[in-house]
Amino acid sequence: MSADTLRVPFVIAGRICEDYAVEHTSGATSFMTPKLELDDLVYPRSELSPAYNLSMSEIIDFLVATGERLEFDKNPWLAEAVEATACSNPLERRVVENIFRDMTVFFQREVLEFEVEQTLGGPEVLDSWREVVDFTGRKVRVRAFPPRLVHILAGNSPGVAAMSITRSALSKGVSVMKLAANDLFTASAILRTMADIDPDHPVLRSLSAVYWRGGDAGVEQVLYRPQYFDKIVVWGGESAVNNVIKYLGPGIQMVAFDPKVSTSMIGKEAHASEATQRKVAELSAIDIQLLDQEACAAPRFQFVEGTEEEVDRYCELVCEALHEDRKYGSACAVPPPADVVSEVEALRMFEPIYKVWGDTEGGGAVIRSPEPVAFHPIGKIVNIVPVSSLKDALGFANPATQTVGVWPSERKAEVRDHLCAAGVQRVVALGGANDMYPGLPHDGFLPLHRFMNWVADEG
Amino acid sequence: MGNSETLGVSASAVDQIKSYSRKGDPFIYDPEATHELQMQAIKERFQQCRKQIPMVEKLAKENGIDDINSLDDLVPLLFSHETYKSYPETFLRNNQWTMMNRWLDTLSTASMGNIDVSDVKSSEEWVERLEENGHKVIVSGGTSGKNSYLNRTVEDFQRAGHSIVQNVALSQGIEPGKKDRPVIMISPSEGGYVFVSLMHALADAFGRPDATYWLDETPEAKQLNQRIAELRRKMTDGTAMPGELTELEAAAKAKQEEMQRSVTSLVDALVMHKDEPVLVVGMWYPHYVLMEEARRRGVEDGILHPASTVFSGGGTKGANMPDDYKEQIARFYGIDPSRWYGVYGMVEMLTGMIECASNRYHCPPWVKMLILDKPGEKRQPLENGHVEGRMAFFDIAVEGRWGGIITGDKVTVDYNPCPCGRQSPTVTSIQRYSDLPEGDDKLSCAGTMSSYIRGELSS
Repeated sequence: MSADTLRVPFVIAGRICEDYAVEHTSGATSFMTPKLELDDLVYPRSELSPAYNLSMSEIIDFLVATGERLEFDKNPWLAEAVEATACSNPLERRVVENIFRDMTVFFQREVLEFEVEQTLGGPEVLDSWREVVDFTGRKVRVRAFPPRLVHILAGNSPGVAAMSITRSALSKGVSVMKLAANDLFTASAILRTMADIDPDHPVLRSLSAVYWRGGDAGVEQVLYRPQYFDKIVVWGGESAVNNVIKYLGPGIQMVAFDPKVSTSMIGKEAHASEATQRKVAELSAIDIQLLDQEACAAPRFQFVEGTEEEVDRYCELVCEALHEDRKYGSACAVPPPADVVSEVEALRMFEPIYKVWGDTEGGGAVIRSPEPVAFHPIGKIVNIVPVSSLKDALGFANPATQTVGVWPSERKAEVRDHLCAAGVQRVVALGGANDMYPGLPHDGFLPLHRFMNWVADEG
Repeated sequence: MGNSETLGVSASAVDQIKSYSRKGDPFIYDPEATHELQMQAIKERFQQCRKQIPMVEKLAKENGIDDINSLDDLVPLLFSHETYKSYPETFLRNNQWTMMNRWLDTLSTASMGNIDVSDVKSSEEWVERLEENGHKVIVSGGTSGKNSYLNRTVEDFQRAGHSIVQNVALSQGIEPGKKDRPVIMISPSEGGYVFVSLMHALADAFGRPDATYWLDETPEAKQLNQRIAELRRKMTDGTAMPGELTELEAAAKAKQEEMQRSVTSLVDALVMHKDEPVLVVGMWYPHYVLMEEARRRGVEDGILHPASTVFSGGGTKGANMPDDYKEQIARFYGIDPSRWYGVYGMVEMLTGMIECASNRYHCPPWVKMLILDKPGEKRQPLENGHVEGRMAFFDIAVEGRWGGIITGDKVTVDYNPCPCGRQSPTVTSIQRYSDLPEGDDKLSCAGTMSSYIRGELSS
């Protein structure tokens, strides 16, 4: 192991493990981890989960205390994690730091309480057997019972790890988080922060964070069984979802945050003045540049009303805006893959039917085309398709579409029903793609609600 | 060198290099002594091609290159292997064949000019129409599901055919033009696919006219491929109905049965000629289907006469074969490994690198290899005459397009004389970068519509 090899600690049921023994490679990144002991990841079904007898308010207090210690400038674990993450994730270090700085939002009392309230109707059904009288007059007791979960984390944003930890804690269940090769450090930094408060806290003892290579049958074939877990929560990536599907069967479910494409719809009002066009272009760039367009909520296609001149001017302004540093994206990001570069460069030869602004070197490019391009725009590339009416763009929405940003936001009402019928799950005001707060629906469901095992005591 | 004498002193370096193909064994040459002439030829090709091929001129301008004085100057001018499929897929969908002509123009030395394509209804028809007008375009399926189109002149076409015949003759010790053996071509005899045109050259040179066998493809099978493409599109935009999918699954099954039926006549041929040397040519999957059908009919392993020749190659994407398909096919034919014609090549190279008795692949004098680093940006240094890295090359012999290309292959090249006695440089190991175990294990929530399409339709 060379001095600069990254070391990825494991957290096993709240215990930090730094016995580095195995080397892994993913793309250009190499890192060492402890040896994975599968027995340590399974919590016996003969026992209640460690946090079972804590009240929701005790759990929220602990999460809030954790959040206070996650203040970036005072937390040594985050400082370490930001450096290491910058080595294994293509995002610029500054952007990673910004995400870390904002992570405390997931640990705020009002955010946590909002999710419990919105998702479960309050803590009662988690803390006790909530009594209801059914339509026959019979007394029934219902409980949101703590689940046993495996979380396959996506690594494009450290926020995924933070959100998974708070939701696991709120569920009172036991969770094994499988780290992504592009985010190996966030989960353990948060869990170490918890350990600084109370190394034996039941919430911490319920959580594990480990790495194995995605799809490793030696691990997944053994672990993904109803005897050990109730649900596999998987974030994105077609291969990640397909790996899980192989092991589904009676008694074991999948909760999938599916791989998604996002788009925007821009009304003709955007061209009212140069200043308005600039403002809309700016909002678009904020969405497109989310995690350098690696986020599922970052639009790849925009459908824009307006004359040819208006749309072209708008394209030009979006392209300019893409070349600026943003909180969650860089002026110059990692360039798109070679096949995308070839296609974009070829389109330059087809003016005026197609028009390309910008560069394919990571600065960002805008392609205006009569219909959506067939390739997948990535690496700060957005495809703008002129439409005569926003309604004409409805046909381009489908079950793979997640977020649709609309401007002006008043026009959301005109398209949202048909968008959702087409399969869309989230319609937002342009510029708000990133504001995916816990407690709101995600990919068509309420995550915390889906995590729980809903059980009943009847009669 | 005797070449300038036979060609006259004023012959261009390109013509002198090309004339090596008239030697009995073009792979016998001294790489150091040939280097200057190769560089002169590359200079000539650059000056011609930048005037004729817009994409070459574009790269030359962008990189400020006016002359090629070393191989380093050539590196930024190499095309990516994605270049030949960089057309917007919407052109194919919408039958915009004039636009496809324009696209191919940007990559060809001769323009498609005014070739009338107004009545063309499919990519097959488009390729046929170009062929009628002297453009011997080849089609390659590749691994992404999107076809590559490479333009060739009539001379390129003839040169490729001459080369494959010469190489098979050299490696197998059989005489071209004698037409003394049965040949079994496990492929339909029509279509622009590169392998098919090579098969025709082999059949013409070696095949006994009364014993040349091809798969017969019904017009229905051809139509089915178009129908699959059409339905995949309808599935993507959400307009395909379940009834259409049922129809497609049935048609795909019929196509498989049709191939089996058609292969039956080739099994008859194998059995009929089992006591004389034959030549069997096909991609891996057709070899496999042939073997399966023969076994089903009780034909035993070791079917071929020991002096027969087998030629296989091509991708196996989507083919349903067991992991040991190569071993099974080898047992079935039962010939010595030396009777398998071995070659390293790719669709972008007019002629292949022949495998010698020492199991190395020899580079012909008209191909100049440039072994680059993994990103394909810099040449790798030689160590004791060896170099490992990404395969790139310049094919001096090709007329119809630019000869420079960067491949997806990781190779080791030895510039020392080969144990087989030839001095020409050899490729000693080949892997695809995409198959290497250090592949990416990164996971992100962003996805594409292709994740949402299953079955026959998934590409």
